[in-house]
Amino acid sequence: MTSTTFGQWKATPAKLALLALFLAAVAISVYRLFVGLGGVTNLSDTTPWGLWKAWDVIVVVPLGASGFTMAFVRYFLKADKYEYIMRRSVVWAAICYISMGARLMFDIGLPWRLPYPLVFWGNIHSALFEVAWCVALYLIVLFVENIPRLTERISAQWAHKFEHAIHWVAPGFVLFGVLLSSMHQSSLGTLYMIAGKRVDPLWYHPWLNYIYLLTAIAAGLSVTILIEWAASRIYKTPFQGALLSKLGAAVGVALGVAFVWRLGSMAAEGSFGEVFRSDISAYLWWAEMLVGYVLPLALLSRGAWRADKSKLALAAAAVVYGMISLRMNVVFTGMNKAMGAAGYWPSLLEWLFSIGFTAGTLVIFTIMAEKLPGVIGDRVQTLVKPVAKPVRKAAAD
Amino acid sequence: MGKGMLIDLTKCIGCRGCQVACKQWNSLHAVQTQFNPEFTNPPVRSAYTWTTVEFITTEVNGKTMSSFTKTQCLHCEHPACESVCIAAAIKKTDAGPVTVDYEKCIGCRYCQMACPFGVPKYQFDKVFPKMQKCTMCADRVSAGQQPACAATCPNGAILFGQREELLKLAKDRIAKGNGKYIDHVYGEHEVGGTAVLYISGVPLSLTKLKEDVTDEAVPNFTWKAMKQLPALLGIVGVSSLGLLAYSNRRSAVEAAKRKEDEHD
Repeated sequence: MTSTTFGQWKATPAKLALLALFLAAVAISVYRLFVGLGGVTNLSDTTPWGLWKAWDVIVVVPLGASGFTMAFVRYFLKADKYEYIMRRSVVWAAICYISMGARLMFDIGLPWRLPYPLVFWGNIHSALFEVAWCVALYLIVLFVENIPRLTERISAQWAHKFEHAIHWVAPGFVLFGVLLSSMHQSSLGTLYMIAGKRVDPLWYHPWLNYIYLLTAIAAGLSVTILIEWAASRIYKTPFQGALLSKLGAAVGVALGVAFVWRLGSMAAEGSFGEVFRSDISAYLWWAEMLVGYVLPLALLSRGAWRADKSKLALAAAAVVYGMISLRMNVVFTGMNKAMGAAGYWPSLLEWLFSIGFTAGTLVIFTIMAEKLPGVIGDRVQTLVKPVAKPVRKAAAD
Repeated sequence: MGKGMLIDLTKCIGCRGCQVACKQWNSLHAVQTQFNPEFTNPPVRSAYTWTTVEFITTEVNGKTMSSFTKTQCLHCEHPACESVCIAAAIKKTDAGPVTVDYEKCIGCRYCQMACPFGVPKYQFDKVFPKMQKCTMCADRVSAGQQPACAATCPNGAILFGQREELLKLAKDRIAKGNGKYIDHVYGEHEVGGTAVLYISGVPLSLTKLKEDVTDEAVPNFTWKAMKQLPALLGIVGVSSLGLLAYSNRRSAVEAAKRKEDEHD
């Protein structure tokens, strides 16, 4: 089948607004180069990691976990039906990771030194060093996984052959990506383990790394569900409920294990009493548990509810909230007391940077989805004629 | 064995001579200060104030008492900051001091999150910032001198020497002190041992020394997770390949079955 193209990116007011926010963020990052961190952010010695590290790095990475989870489903379960779902998820992941790298550059004190640990080596005992290497290598994997999106439009014989070659090596790259992701998604949790019990008992966990990995898997698959939900509304792609509800079940398993393990470790530590504290941290903990764990676990517990588009999407959104809440809480609410932090609140420019780059991630995704062949699929498809069937790569088998 | 310092808090008179000496030797500029209920001045350590004498004035058994705690980097034997440094910029040197290599530091500020004592301070006000901390005057030490604070202390409250010998001296002073000291050498076991040791005449709660620190070497906290990574990779890799083999087999069986059905 020849690839379908949709002509130019369609500029709607909403997309233009996102683009404007993105440009504002780019302007702030340039300004930051001239005035330094202190001139733009409210960071201090008691809050060395602020919104940019917490949101733009530690949250954006698991938001891109849709890539390795869906590539795994597609290639290791031999589930060709997920091909188009995977394509969108992997394109999204690539944009998330590239965006994360760009944002991280402005968060570190000396931006041009970002590649130093890769170029001049570093310290293998540092979880951050391991994250840096895994993310850098995973960017290569994401690039390879997305090559077919770029070559599909080229009708030349070499492009066709090249695509066959990529398809042949894809499982190897996918496995490499899964291994790298298992490492860096978990190591983002390891980062805080150095603080030991200085972390607030509400978020302290002896194996925070595995909690981060489990919630990254759950959130990654949930992001996939949300992408499909959004694409079905914006691009009128068919919402493949039968396939996505299976992902929903997998989300439930990963989230359930994390939930039980978190509560179990709190019981083992004897820190359950802390949840009845009447402070903002305890309220945030309850919100995280009820909205981020109990609600989605309930919604995902029944097949009929998983098959319901809005319930599934709601559950997915709740899981993503829980993932974000955990990561934001660990770095701020969880560490505040230990760091003696005197009320950090991000500056206006910090907010604009984070919001703007997130808007940029979304708008670039729309550009990629609309301009690259074979990401959205055929626009006139209906549920009767699912997207996944006529994939050119299937013919290569 | 590395060098260290023994700070005898009973001998400290709160003159802040060490603060001045530190600023002079390390060319640290003065910072804006303000009146505050404590006499600690500057009130907090920063990228430009590596050591402070922290004052506590309080009432014990109806009597007003003051305590002075000289605070600075403790130069841990197993530093958390060194273990987390992505660029290997922070090093525990054989001589004892923990130092930052400005040429390597990228400014990720992970050391600030990791240090249980809140020692590393960043120049957030600079466009080209550096991570700053007490170096135990590594430059002086390598030239056979003692750190500036120890050299200047008028009352011999800051002693510099081999950590082992200072530890022995500390225990000796406690033993012969007739109850002058509390029976605790701070830094002997804290965070797996620190090069800077303290002995005190008042309970630790009346000093600015952190009481709620672990006795375990802090780098172990993350290493316990990182050393499981090979096992994690093995489990994920083997189960992925197993699943792939199963999926291949299943699709082969399904294909064969479909063929059979067609023949029927």
